[in-house]
Amino acid sequence: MAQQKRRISGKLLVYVLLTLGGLLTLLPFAWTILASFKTHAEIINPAAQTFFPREFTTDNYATIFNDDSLPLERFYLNSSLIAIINVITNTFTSALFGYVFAKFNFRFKRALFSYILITMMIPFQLTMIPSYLVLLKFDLTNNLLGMVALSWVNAFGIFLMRQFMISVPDELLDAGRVDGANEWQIFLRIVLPQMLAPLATFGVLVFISNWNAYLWPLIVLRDVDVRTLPIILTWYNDRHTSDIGLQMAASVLIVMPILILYIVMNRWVVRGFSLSGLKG
Amino acid sequence: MPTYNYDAFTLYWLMIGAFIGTSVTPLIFDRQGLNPWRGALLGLIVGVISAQIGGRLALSLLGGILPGIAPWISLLGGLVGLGALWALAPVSASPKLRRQGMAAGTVTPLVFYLATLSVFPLLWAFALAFFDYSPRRLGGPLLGLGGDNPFVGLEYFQQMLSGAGRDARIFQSSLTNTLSFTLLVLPLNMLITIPLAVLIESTNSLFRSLFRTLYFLPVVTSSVGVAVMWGYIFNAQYGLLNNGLRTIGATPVAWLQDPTATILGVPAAMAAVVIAYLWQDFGYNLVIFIAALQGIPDSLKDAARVDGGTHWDVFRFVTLPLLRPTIMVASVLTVISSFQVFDIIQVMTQGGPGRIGLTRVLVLDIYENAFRFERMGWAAAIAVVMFLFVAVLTLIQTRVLRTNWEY
Repeated sequence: MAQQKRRISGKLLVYVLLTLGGLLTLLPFAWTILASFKTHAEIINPAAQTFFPREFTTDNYATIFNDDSLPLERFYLNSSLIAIINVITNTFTSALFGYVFAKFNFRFKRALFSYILITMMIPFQLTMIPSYLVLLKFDLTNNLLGMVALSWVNAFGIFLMRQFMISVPDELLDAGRVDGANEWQIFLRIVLPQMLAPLATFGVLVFISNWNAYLWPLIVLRDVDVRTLPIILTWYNDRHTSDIGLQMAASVLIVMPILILYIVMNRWVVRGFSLSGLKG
Repeated sequence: MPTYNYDAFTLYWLMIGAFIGTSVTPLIFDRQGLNPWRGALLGLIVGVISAQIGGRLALSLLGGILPGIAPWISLLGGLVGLGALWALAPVSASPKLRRQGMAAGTVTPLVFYLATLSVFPLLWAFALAFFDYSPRRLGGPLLGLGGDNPFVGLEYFQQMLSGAGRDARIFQSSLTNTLSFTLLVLPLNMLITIPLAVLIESTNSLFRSLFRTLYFLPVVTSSVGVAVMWGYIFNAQYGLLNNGLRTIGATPVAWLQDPTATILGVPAAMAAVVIAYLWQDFGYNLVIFIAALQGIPDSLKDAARVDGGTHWDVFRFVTLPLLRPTIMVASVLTVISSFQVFDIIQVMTQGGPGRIGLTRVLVLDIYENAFRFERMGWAAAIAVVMFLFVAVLTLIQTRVLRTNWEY
């Protein structure tokens, strides 16, 4: 009886600890969101600091939405366009090449696949300088096209999809061939529909990493109106260094869409990250 | 007539002609009963030549009449020659050649892509490290190397080793900062994630997925957003942390600005970026550890418990040893990714405070040299050094992964 009691209180302690840890994890988000609803006067007066806003205001958001030098919808569009185009190209090429590497035989297949695996291990910082110079030659810097031109093949995606494609039974493909389907029809109508789950997982990963990308867009997109949201956030904050409420409101606007996407699709996201063995 | 950047267009014609040629021609060739791989090669040649001639013609003829769409039409120049090539192919089906056609039509464009946009930039990166290169100077005929961008040999690497000159000193301190950042992040990350994973794994499945979702939230948050949020928490005047310190009567610290402030011997700014980085990153290893813990059979733990082991004994003698391979892999991944830290530091401290910069890390050094000071040769040399570090770590990781671990 006493032992059982101890076990229950031990269990309770675990839940209390985990809840406290969770609250600590959420604290920076909460502090940011609450600060975005505080007035400037309240934020700059250390004596008047409270966790919740004393005087609830949406002025910070109004200032951002009414700022003509900050066409937010344009930056949302830039970020979404880049992320969506990269999701489409990367999922398609990963599925296609993953399928070809899993189900076809050709000369130098192993060498080619090894090379693709090796490129996953090369740090981006090494190739970013020549990649930038390539874009310069193509006249694609300061252009949204430059953000998708060099990235339509994803080494990790090919590797991942090949693992899944191997499990597709050969009999199914042969049945398609007997029925007179050509190779592209087999790929598009028989193979792809079975791969929707892994492709969705991979697609969400690509979307998040593109949406959050900072270094590469910072290099390529120098003009304000082609920039993506993370760069706009630092640019905007540099112009409003003293107004923290405004900075926090801008952060909320830029961070929230991806968090909502994550909460809606969290099962896929977590599985994708644990599959990947790669960090964002 | 508008003036076009012919250099750029030549490259577009090359790429598009090659891609259409190599991807479609093998599919047509399989119908003709010919070897599709030869078709891919023929398609490459015809596509590239036709795209250059057709593109140049289209741009010079139509440029005056339709300045808006002439560039777009010129991109399709390759279709002229390729269309003729395809039309010459009579139909004869052979399933075996069809399969080869599919392989040839997808693999050849992939090889072309990798050669032009992956292998070539990689070689270029290594070459840059031996030249004093700036994109503003015209330089020699081959990629602008040579001429105004002189060959300097191993000079940059010698400078890095000897620490002679301001740049080399900055590099050395960046390397030291990167190493100490990594050495701070790794143990702290493990100390947080392993116990937390054990706790989460012991809850029931509903709460397990709830907590996992919650703790994973910072991982998907934009790192710039993370840096802005933590920048406010560490703010010297209005930050949450200094408010707390004031409330308990302690002296507030100018976390991100004061080069002399230290916390347990670590510069305050370094501590701040490490904390922000840990907060963003720990959910990732957490998920890996939870997955690994779920893979450990309950029977092993039960056996230990039946033998009278406490929770701590089970953790110490059953869970931890079985978790060791996962800990190794997660450690190497954490080291590799924290070695490449940039976003959080660039936004929170810009590498400061202090004259050389107490939080200046390698990637920041590469970025500023390459894209602010346009000293791309020096930046490439630093990147090569960084690559060597990461390559060694990756080799260790693949060795670890290759070992077969079984329970």
